[in-house]
Amino acid sequence: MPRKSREVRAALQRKGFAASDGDHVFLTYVTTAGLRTTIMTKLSHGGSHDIGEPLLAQMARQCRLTKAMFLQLVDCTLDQTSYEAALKSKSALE
Amino acid sequence: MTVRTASDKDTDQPATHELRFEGGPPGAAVPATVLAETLTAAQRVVHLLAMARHRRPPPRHRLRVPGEVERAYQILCTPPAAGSYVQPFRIGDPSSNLLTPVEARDLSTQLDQVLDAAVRGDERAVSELLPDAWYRRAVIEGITRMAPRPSSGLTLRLDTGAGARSFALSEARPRLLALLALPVSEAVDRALIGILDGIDFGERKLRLVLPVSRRAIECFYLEEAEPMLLANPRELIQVVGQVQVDANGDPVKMVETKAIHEVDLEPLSLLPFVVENRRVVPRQPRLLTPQLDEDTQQVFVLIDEALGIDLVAETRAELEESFAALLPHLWQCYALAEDAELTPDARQLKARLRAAFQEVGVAAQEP
Repeated sequence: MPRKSREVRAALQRKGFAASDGDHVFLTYVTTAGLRTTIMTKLSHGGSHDIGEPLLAQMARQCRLTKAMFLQLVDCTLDQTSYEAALKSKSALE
Repeated sequence: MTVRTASDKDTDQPATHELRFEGGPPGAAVPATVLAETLTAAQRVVHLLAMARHRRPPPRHRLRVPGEVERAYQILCTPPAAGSYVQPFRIGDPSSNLLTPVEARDLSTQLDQVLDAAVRGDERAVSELLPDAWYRRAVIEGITRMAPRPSSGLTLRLDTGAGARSFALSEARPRLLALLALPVSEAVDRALIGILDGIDFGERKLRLVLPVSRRAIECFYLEEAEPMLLANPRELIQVVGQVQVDANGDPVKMVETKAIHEVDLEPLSLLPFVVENRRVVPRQPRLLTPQLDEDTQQVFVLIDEALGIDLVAETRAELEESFAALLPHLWQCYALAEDAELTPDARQLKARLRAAFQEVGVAAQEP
């Protein structure tokens, strides 16, 4: 199911993603140790904008997750510690 | 709604369907209220299907069947048959000038298709047959009401006249109720990329075939888009508008067209940008070529791993805007960052960015 842009942004920020200012919101993952990574995704402007399935799949890829795990991250059933563990298990994070 | 018994002349026409009640009182009788409710619900389903076929806007609130639809698409009951209580009927009044035999047969076929999908609880198939959410729900409600209530002790099967198919409506009741419990999907803003497969100039309508799912979507087009459409037969185009999606979020129908574009995959150049009043320029000219995503071919993707560029966007315009905004962001976040703030990967990206771009002084101030 599509997700609201504003809900995705809020969820990712709760999981360690830092949001840029400006019209284009880039969300960059910062580790629990406070280091900026190269893991980044972007949201279109407009918080009420629906993010459709194809775009959600691509955002999942950018976050180095399967779509199912990305939706868990957005829906808050995957916490930041588990996310980081998943990244390390697939060598997406040193 | 009109239910009338077929006249002698009408009985020359074979029944298309049979309502087969079982489990009733001895003597194969069926209470009049049950029979009336079933026939009323069946007639409602037929009227709804007819209105949907004729693209009548959904009434949204109370259903008012236009007089001509009511007259043409009557359910005509033929004499009951012996055995368990069997009520044959057929669809369409042959004396109506408004309905050809072909139209009556088509609607009968559509009824069978909808019944088949509904009794299987196949939400996707029902959505394809009835893309409009209002009609879909109303038809499923009607089919559910055709089956006698479980407390009546009766069950209902609907057979096609030729006996080729049989739909166990009472048995399917849980699946029908599950379909009714699904949330109604609303139209959402979406951009759809597909192959331009057909144009109807009279109705200003085009047919788009989505590349991976092969699903065909029809939509109206704006007159100013016609020259572009004529220049792109069987090519990929993008239609932006309000799209109805099914429970999986897959597009079912475009309900409002806002814009139509060619799918432009021309390369983008690295351009100079300004960060903190400093002008940053690429050391070498470089072209980056957008692609459509492999899985769905619905999203523009622009990737250059060396420069940390990984952008996705629904439209080319959005991709270009994002690209212009990304380069200053990358410079700020990585090229200007202290190593201690970055992971090893990010430090490598910092080095690659500094190798690809250079600061060339203070940017000119705007007056």
